[in-house]
Amino acid sequence: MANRLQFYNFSLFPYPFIPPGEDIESSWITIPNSLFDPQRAHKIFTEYLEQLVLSEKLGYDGIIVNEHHQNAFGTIAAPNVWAGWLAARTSHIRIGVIGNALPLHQNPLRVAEEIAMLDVISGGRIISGHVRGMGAEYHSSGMDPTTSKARFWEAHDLILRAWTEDGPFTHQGEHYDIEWANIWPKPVQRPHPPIWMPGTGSTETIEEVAKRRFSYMQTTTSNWITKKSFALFRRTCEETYDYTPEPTQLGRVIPTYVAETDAQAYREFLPHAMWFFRTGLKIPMHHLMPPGYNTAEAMLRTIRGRAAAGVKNFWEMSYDELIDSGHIIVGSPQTVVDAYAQQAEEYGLGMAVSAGGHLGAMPNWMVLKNMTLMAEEVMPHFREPDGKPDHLRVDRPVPHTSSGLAATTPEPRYRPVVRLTDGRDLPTDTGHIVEVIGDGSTEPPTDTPPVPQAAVDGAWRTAGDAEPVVPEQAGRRVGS
Amino acid sequence: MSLVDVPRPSRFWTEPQAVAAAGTPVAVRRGGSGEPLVVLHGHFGTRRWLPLYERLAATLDVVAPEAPGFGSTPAQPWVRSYEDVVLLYRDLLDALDLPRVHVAGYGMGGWLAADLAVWFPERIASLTVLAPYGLRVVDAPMANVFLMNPARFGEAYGLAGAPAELVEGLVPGVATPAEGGPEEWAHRYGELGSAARLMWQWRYDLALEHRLPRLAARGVPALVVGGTQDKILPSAHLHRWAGLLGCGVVEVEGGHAFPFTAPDRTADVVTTRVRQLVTEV
Repeated sequence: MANRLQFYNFSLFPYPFIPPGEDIESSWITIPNSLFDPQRAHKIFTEYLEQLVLSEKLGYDGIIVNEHHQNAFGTIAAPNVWAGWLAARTSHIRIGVIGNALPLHQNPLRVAEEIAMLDVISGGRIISGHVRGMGAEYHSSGMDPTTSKARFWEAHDLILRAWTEDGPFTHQGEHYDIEWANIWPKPVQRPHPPIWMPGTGSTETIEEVAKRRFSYMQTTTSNWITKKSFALFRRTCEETYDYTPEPTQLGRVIPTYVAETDAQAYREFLPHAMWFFRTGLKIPMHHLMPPGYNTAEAMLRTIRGRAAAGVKNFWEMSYDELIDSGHIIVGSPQTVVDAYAQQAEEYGLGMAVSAGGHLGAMPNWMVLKNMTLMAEEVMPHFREPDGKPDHLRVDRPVPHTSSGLAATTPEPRYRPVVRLTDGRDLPTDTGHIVEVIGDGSTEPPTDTPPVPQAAVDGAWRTAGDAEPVVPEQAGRRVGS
Repeated sequence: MSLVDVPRPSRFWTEPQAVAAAGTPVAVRRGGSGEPLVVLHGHFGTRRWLPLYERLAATLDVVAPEAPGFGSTPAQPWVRSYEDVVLLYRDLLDALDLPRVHVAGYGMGGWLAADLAVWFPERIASLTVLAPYGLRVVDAPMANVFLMNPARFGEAYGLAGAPAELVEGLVPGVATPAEGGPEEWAHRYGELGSAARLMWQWRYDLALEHRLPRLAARGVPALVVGGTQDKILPSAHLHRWAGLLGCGVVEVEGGHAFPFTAPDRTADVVTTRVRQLVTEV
């Protein structure tokens, strides 16, 4: 039993108090941060967070944050911090970090660790998106755009290996050389949290995502490009990799606004959609595409493709053009239901992202209205009769309660103990009981070897083990 | 030994010769006779036998190679840094049977020319750097050639006001796809990517501070040439280079693109210096 469509609330955390797009060269890189007022940000950022928290009660499938740097369009520079906050404030909704910009980080294991920690504390609710980062962010970080793609895939592969293989192991790659890869913690979802990869429709991205059976998330584009990308994705899965993709492998960022009537929705959404496209996405080519971020051949294909399809820059489109081309959906509940139903049937859309949430400079009340109508008037049309989001029909990887955990989780392989002077191992959970410790002392035994036995023979001696426990392979496995 | 097919600029295009430098194809343009002078291009202005080269060729044997990923020379995956290009150019000198040459480089090419001289001083008769990149001068950073509004190119590079026939089609970075057509745009984007491969990280090499002074000690004479109104490279860089190389600075009227906009004067400065050195020897 699965719903026809999943709904995700995706918040970018814009800081919209800047001059109009027409008066700035770009809302990225060079826009002075003297425009940023932390007090004002406190108000709107906490509103954004509360909107995402409310999504759980409204019945969304998931809430999403992402990583962007040094711009007014989306200010979540550290998405794993926000995801931690959201994990603490929610209990069952899925939390997507879509995504961490892997090549912008020096050490990919940092991302592996943070996502794993989020997965553990959230009880296995994390979706891990992996992205290269916007071209503009290479200017802002000083990271090398010419090796970005290669570092992206190497980092991605290393992260997956760190999640799925036991450490320690050694990674010797083209771009990362890590002698001791051995992350603590590891994610609770096995073999690893679901992976989403966003794309604008590039053949290469679609091919890689289809091959790995991950979810492909089309970023804000027209219906024409989305339909083409989804068709290519499904064809690649079926013809090249011999499987039928799940609907949840195809998501689309499609900012949607729903109100009482078509006319009301049209009027209410206009200024906010236009701020988003005209000012938030004001990124001239020389900011968007640092040299080496793409190959000359890929850029030539893109330019020709855009010219053939008559694709305009975001900030050059009118509101009606944005609606007609399908960049956004705006209307009454029935209009929105019809649009989603058509895309689910015709394109294979399985996940609507940015489905009724915040966009642009929208005030809090309007976001809450949008979300509420989406939940109460639109979502039910795509749900099974029980009305639940899909995740409520399956068990979490971690029980919700301590009693549940105690009832279902096997004894740990090792219990924490303290080695006593007389050679006995004192269990820490009962070591305070006089009958257990007896006359045991924790003074170091005089004959303790200076180097622990484990370091000598690659083994770890533990309480209750007659013989040292030898890992399957004591040495590190070397690979790239 | 094949070169890359490239869009041809509207002016000064000539067919390059393919030279195998230890098996790696390098596009080379060559003209004139006399003392050999290798000229190394900057991050733009490739694919041309420039008026500057033509003037230099009146008295010198001018050899103008294109670095991997520039002009008709194919990009090479093994090029990770300047050292790889320096080694390739050393192989090129061998392939052309040029045991010792004068070398001149512009911008990024000045940095490469200096590295070539640092590593193989026995092959270098003299070093001339024109508006060279590669040094960090505190409080006088270079303009960012990788992030500039195309509308500013003319003013920033000193192209505005120059004779149209000298700067027509000469775009110092990636402009708009409308300019020169998608193929030309994509080619320039690729070339700028090749430049970024060498000098995005880092945009200067602090090691040059310690390496350049060795050249004077090894008897490699040098000259620093700059534009009087350079808005890309502050003049403090010219003087820092001169201080490290133990040589003088000659200024040519013009902005950062002075080798393109003032080819006669630039050629005079370079040839006078080379002639002087030859006479001294």
